[in-house]
Amino acid sequence: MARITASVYTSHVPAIGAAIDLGKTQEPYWQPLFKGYEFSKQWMKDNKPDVIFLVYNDHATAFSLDMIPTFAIGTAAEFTPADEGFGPRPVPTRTWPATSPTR
Amino acid sequence: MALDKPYQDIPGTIIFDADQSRKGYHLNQFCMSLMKAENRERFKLDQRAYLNEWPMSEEQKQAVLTMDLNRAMALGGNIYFLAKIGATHGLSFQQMAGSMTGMSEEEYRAMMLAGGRSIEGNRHLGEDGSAQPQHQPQGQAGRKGN
Repeated sequence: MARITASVYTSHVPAIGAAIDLGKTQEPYWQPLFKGYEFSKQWMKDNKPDVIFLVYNDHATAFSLDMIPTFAIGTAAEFTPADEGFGPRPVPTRTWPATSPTR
Repeated sequence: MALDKPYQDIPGTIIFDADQSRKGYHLNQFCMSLMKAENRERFKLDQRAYLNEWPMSEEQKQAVLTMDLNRAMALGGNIYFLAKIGATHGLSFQQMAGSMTGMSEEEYRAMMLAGGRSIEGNRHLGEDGSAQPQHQPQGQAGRKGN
């Protein structure tokens, strides 16, 4: 039986991602916010789950007004970062194989 | 019969409801097209020509050309979509949000650092808070007008 081990949240304003990409995390304006992530980052390292359900809202990235479902479940092995107009964010991408990874 | 929309009483914003969505459909779809780098290039090369490819109203096109995001929202735009125009021009979201208030980027940041806009006086139209129509534009732009 699966057990829910934790529920972790963050604010999601687009400017946070931009601040990381532009190397602004240590600027006085941003520092308090990013300092707040330190505890969570460490906690998540120490408490790694087997599976993560990532829930987020779609900032008009995957869906346009053609079709906006109230809820959608992504089931692909990989999702590429959206290009919201600045170019896709340089976040790590990784395909998870269905079987155990071999090196 | 027209729907009763008590939320139109909120100062400083336009609620994106079904009517706004219908009005802004092509404007917002145009914005989505800017998620492709080649479309951004074409748009920047000749904004008017690119806009003319979309069945948008002339008012909507003008709002885009002048980067008047408030106007674009009044004409059915949704900020999640409109943000792509700003991104195309290399503006940060903070700069875009600031531009909608009349505040400079610094003024807007300072307000956010101080906990954001106060709800006091901004719950309903007719009060005296900073988001009320009689106090627009705010910040730098407002002072210039005085």
